[in-house]
Amino acid sequence: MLLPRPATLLLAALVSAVALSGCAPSRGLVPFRAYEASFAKVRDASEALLDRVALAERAQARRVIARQSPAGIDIGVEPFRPTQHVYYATGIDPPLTAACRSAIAAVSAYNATLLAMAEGRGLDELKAGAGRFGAEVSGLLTLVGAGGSLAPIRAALVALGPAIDEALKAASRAAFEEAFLRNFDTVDSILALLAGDVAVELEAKLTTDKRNALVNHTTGLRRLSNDQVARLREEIQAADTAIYDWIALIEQARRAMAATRTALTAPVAPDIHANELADSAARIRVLAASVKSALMHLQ
Amino acid sequence: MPASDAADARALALQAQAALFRLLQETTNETEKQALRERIARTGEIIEEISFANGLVLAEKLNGLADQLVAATQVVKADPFGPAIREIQALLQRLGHSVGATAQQIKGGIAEPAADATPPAPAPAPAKKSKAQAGAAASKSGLLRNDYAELFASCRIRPERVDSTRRIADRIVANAKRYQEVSDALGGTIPWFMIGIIHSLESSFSFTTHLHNGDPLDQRTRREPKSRPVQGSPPFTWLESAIDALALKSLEQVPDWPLEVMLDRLERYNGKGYANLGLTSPYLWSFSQHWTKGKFVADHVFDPEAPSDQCGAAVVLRHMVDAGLVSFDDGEAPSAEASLGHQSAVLAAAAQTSFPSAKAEVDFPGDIAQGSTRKAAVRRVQEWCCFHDCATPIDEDFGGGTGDAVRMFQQRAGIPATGVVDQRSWAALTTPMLAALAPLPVTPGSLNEAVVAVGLQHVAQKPIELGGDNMGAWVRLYMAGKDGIEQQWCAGFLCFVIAQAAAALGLQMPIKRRVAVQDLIDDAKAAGRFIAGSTVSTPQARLARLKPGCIFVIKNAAQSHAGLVAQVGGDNFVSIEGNTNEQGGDRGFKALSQSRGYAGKDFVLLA
Repeated sequence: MLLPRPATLLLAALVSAVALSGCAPSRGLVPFRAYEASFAKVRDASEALLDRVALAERAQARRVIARQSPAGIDIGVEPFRPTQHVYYATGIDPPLTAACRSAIAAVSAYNATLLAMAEGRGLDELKAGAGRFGAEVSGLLTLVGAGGSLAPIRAALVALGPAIDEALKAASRAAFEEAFLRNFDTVDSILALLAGDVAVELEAKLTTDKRNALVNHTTGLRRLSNDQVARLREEIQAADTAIYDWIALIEQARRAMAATRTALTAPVAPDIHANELADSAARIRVLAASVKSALMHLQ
Repeated sequence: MPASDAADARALALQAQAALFRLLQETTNETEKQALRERIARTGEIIEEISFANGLVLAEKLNGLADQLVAATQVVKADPFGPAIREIQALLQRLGHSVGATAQQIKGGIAEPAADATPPAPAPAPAKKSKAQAGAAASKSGLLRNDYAELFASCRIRPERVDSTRRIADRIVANAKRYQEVSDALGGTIPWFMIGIIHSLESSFSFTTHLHNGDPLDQRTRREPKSRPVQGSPPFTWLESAIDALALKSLEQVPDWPLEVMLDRLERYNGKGYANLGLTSPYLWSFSQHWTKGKFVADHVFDPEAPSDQCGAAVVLRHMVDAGLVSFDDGEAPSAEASLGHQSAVLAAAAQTSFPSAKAEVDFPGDIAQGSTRKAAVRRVQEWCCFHDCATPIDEDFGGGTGDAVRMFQQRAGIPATGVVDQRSWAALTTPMLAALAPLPVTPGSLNEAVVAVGLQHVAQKPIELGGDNMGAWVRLYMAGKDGIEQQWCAGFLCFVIAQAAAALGLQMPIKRRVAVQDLIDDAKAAGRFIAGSTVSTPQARLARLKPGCIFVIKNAAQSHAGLVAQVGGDNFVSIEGNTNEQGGDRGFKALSQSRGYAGKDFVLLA
């Protein structure tokens, strides 16, 4: 995807201005803030996608439950299934959706603290951020404990505990940053998983029933009208486009986070990292808009 | 459960679906095509279900996928060496490997401290121990053996795990014949269900992986115990591997298998690391109140917080005992029924619990010998002797003639010809009915498929009237325990088959049980399930609207009869029906499957 050139130029100019003014730490405040604003769009786009996934996950689960449950007399209302309440309650997300939202929230909390570090916030504020990150990780752990697509990161999440504790006990900024940045690879692995196996799972939630309907049409088991076939194909394509864009968005967020870490740890040339951050911010905004646009085509 | 496993499972399922589709394209027979379409649709459902599957459930789904492929190859008369069948066989191999790998992930690790680990292989086969030595080894853990008995007696399966446990037990029972083959090869002392339980724990019923540890059969084992089997060359058959796995643990040397010895040996199969830590083992007790958390997550690595998605061996056994699938006489050795090893001798118990008439017919009534005054029991013995062509009058009088008939049967069955009908003889006499009641070897994709499979399972045993019009064990089975001249049993037969099929899938009976054909018709009309023959007068209409598993009815001045449709053709259909004969009459004495024309028939759908 090509960068919107004017935005890059504008941000680069801002970086230079900030660097010259000397009113921020040497890391360069403005590009970090631009990145922070764009990362909010990652969350927005993910929330919009996950809202759709939640609906699909509930519907899919109910189909599976109905198939596997003894059939009573059909009175037009589903039997009461308290042990499956996560797929019926209206006030909570179903498991996969909940785990994904929690994962995004954990990454966001980590990211926020990274940015606080870049902004030169005080140690207490940083520790508060680390505490929020720790709380999000704990929440995520409870959601991935029983298995599922995010289960592979369970061990890594458990391993985060000591590093977060160490950051919380840090006596100096330097000690805090050193400890906190040690979590980076795990946080990155969460994003990698979201863009990989989890994305496959999300796509399956959104499209499996439609794909099955088309398979059964193709075999001749249950014929559909031409209009129905066309509509199902369009819906699958729209869902896939949304997921493709979301994967690209997550990958871009990974690159931006990596650039942030590099900028935080690089001894020199902050402007180069600032440019990289500005590029990432621009790309993220475009991709987030694409995800939302694709979702609008979903029925 | 790594997500990649679920992703791999989905990929395998998609490949299975594509393979079935290719088979569909090669098939010209419309009935076979329809069966394949339904299999493909079921694989689509499994793909959807895999999204919610972890651990044990994922293994179940993979096994379910394999069932679809196996059933498809049974339905379609395709070239066994053709590309489509070869592709399916290759997929079955991969599915088996995935199931085995999943089983090992569920299991975790070997529960032994490293120092006590199995010696690295290759190693010479263990020296044969004397039975006395083996018995002494089994009794070493005397205190624990008492613990086993107490724990087993108080074992309660967690409610949310009851269904999973039942499915595992059903699959063990369905594979009983293969387990008995292994036992026979090792001298016949190891109870078949012991082998089945190990199979469930070590490889989630995969027959393409080693019984030692779920590694693929196309090479020696890679995980502990490593490099097994020592003898022979890969690829190994499952039987070869299973023999080696059990011999490695000297299980064939165990002379008797009371409950405590069985549980002790099962725990040892994975290692006594839990006992050494003073803990109960998930390998035995997971899914019950006797185990909550803490397991060896890798070989010799214990995690006190780790959960388990494995159904413990003792828990499966608890279910099997509770369901009457196996029993331990006086709390000690497995019963004669169980040790007999007949697949059908024990596996019908689950069906019995759902069908009282079945229980009444196949339950052992106690020893029956000449001079017995228990008329009903004597009558049953005489009926079964006649069924097996060992003729004797069915007069409820156990005299010399009946004794001779019993001895003749025993001789033919390879049982000591005592003339006394003991438990073993009874199990052999009633084997045909037990086989008819047996769980289906492959899980059907739908109720209609299940109905056809169960119906064929019954007619394969050649049910007939015994001792007069509408008389005998088979009639009583189908007619809720009644027989007699007025007990016309065509509708009773089809309703029993439908009920058994529904029970096999954990579903409720979809229609009301009726023994009068007119009642079947009236119910169907009221529920909108009735299809008049005149509305399916063309081959296209028949193929489109009628499904195998539905009911055909004949109701006119000359005949009142009903049966099941096994295959739908354009001009004829294949039936499964009782109380009939080869001429299609409604007063026949047997159950059979035959080709029928559509003229004069109406149809009733199940749903």
